[in-house]
Amino acid sequence: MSQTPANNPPAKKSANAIPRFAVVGHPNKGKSSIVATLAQDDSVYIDRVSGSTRTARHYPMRVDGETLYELIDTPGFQRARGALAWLTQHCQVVSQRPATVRKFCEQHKDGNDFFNECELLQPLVEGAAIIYVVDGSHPYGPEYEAEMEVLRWTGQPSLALINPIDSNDYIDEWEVALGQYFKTVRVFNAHTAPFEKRVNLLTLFGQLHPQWQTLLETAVAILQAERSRQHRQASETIADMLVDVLQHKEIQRLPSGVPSKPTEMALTKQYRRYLQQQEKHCRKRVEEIYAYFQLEREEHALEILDKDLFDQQSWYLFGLNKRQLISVGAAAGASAGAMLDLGLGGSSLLLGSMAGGLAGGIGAWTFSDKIAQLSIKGLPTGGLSLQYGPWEHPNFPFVLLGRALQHLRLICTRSHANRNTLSLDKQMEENPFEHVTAAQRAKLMAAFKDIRKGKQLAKHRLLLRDSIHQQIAAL
Amino acid sequence: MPKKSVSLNDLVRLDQQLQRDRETPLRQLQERDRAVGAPLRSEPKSRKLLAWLDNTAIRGRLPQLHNVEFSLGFWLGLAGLLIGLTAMSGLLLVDQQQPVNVLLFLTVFVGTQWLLLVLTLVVAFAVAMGGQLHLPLENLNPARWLFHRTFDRLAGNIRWEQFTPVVRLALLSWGQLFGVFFNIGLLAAMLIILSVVDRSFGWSSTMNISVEGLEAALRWLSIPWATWLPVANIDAQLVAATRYQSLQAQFGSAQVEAMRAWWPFLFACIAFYGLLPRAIMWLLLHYLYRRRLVRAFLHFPGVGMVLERMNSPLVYTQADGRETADRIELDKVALSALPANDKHFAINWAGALEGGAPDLLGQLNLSRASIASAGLNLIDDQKLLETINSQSAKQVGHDVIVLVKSWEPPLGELGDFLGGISSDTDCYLLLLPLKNCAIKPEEYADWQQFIRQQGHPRLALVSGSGGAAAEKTP
Repeated sequence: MSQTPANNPPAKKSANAIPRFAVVGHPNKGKSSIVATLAQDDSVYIDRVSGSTRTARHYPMRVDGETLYELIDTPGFQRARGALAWLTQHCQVVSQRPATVRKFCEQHKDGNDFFNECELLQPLVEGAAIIYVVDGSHPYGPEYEAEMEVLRWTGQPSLALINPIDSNDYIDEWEVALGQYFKTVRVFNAHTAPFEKRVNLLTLFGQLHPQWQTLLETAVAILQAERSRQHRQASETIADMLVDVLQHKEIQRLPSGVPSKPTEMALTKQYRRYLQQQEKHCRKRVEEIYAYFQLEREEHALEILDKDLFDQQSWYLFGLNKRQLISVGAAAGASAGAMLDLGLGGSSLLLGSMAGGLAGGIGAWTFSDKIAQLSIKGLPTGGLSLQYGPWEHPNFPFVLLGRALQHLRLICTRSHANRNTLSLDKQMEENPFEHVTAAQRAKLMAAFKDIRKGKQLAKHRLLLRDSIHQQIAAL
Repeated sequence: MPKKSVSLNDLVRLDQQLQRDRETPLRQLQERDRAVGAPLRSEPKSRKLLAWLDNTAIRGRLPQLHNVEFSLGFWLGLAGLLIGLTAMSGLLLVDQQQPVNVLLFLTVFVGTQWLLLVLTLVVAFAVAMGGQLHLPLENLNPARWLFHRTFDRLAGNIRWEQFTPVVRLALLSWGQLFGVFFNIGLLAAMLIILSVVDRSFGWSSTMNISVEGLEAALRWLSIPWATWLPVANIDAQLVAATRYQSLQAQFGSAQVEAMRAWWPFLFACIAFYGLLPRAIMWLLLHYLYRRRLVRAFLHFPGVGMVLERMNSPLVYTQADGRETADRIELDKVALSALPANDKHFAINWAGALEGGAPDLLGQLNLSRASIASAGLNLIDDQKLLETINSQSAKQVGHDVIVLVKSWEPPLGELGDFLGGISSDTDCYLLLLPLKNCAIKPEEYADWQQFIRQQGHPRLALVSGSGGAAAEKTP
């Protein structure tokens, strides 16, 4: 692997040089959501009821232990007018304003009246930049002026973010109001902002101070490299799961005279349980890769994804539809027939390919609904060997892959501020193989068949990994 | 310092460690693997992985596997040597009355070995090309039995399907090692026995083989050493002189003397057609096995992730520890109906009326002009409080209605203001909905919580949203 700057830990620097950004504002305007999204931290407590953040919480970006920047989530203003009154009373000279704010914090930090103000102003006194957050779905009000004025007193570099929590109705109004106090105003929806927008925002943070720009650019490069790594790791995790599951079989030997029926049922059950466990484990790993650690409690609400893997009614949603299935079957049959044609030096007038294609297509159409078959063999030493699996149904590997892809898409496009249960919107309900070409589907089918037989596993694992990676890249 | 070469033992350890890692949280794996990988930045992949294994793989029965390849080689070599010694001794000593039939000797010790060699080549080629060819003869490989017995006993739950080609090449390679020592055993037994026992060699066949034909065939066989080892060459005279019938009991002294002259040729045949090809084959298969082993080691499912974790910096953007709500959930207060009293002291808090619905004013018998403003200037708020409290002292019977923005959270400033109102005064917080919107349940919850936190005994919450009628207390 080449050593890109994103792979190297940053050089050591003094604590004072670390860019720090305090996310401040009115209570319940999405400060914690913005921090959760930027810090990719789903442990941030976010509530629609105000006052969920009582104390300042720090979110340093650490790379091999070195801090590149720090986000600070703060409680909302409670008595901005009171604080401003105190500041005005204690300062007559404009140049003394930052020092007065420091004095304000020192004087009130142990009291109850200005607890929130001290918590949010203290990081600013210590050199943090201001990220002022408002809600673009609610109108501007005069009560915000005192907050912005207090922030101006700190003399720290600042920018304002309009977070449209429920709608964009009042964004224009806010842009005008905020423009009076902040040089830079941006709209940033913490719940829907894609990754690129998040890192762009961090780049923008870097522009608040000339010395921070390089560090923030390094941080962004590292985050982008980390994102690519996450995609690669997720692709590899899913490919590994597929290779494992598609080869899986349950075998049980029975002594002569023992009835086989109960064992047959037990094997079927074990096979299904194994597949479900592997799929669940894969999902959990993918979530961990993208730093989602709190999603377990929401597993039950995965809607369609939570439908049983063996629920064939949902198969066409994730796997191939009948038409795609027939075309894949026909392509696989034709390629087998083509080998025959090749062996006969073309003297068969491509009859092999045609017959193979026809047989493959009909086979796919008339295939039984069983995922796998039970086979019973007599043993030379007496008794029976019962085997359930590997898979038989041509759609099964596509269903498995399709389900994994859907889950991956949900995770990839989700924000860490989102506390809702994972759900599939209309766009997600689109068949994951809709935009995959017939040739690619046939190639996948050939790989699945090889994996089933344990052939060229390493090669096919790479093929699957790359196919999945392509799908993520296309998001 | 990580060790340099990969062994089959490492592959087994790798499999077991990766299986164990499946249940370990990813964050923990990232920290562990980066700690191992960071100092090895410039090392090649295989050495990094070996170092990773040494640092992570748990101790226990696995160290016993450490020398398993050497042990297997040793035991197979020893077995080959003993079997070779026994086989040659058997052939030379079983019937000393009769000469050893050269044709039988060559068929058993050269022909059979060549047949096995060709089959091995076919299988090795198929395995090296990633094919799946299985020959029943593979089951006869002594290495196979010894290998499975050893590994199953020591390593237990191994996913053999993940390294089948490696194991097959290993078995083929060990099979050749067995063959090398088998041939050494043959040659050693031949030398020892012929130095102490007077054995003669001849040829006899029920097939119609002519002296000239056999001589030509043997000369062809001796091409590799013909020029530099003349003593091991065969001539037509010797072939003619050592022909015997199977039931022949008497041999002339000249014939017996001639019969002794076969052994250098036979020795050379075993050396050149038994030992040498086996040794070459062993080296070739060992090379293929090593190559495949390293490939399997580096491409084992999960290894890509391990290397990725080792090579990538540990990036954390999250806070330490999980944040929990430290807010105390209080019982919610019930919503009250609009006050029946028509003497109100109405206050427009922080410009709530500007964004809210004015329809309510009619219901409350309020005109816009009669509504005081507060929540904008502290001095004005103070004056307003003084007015309210002086009215209260005069027992005029006014209640106070504070019109607030339901969509904004209640602030401490409002709490301070309400705290300044005399506790004898009925006080209502009237939640105004945002234009064209209903008040949301979480907004109610927020304000209900706020009311509960205030010390004012006669403070009530009133909804100004028709949509919330169901939640109002009658």
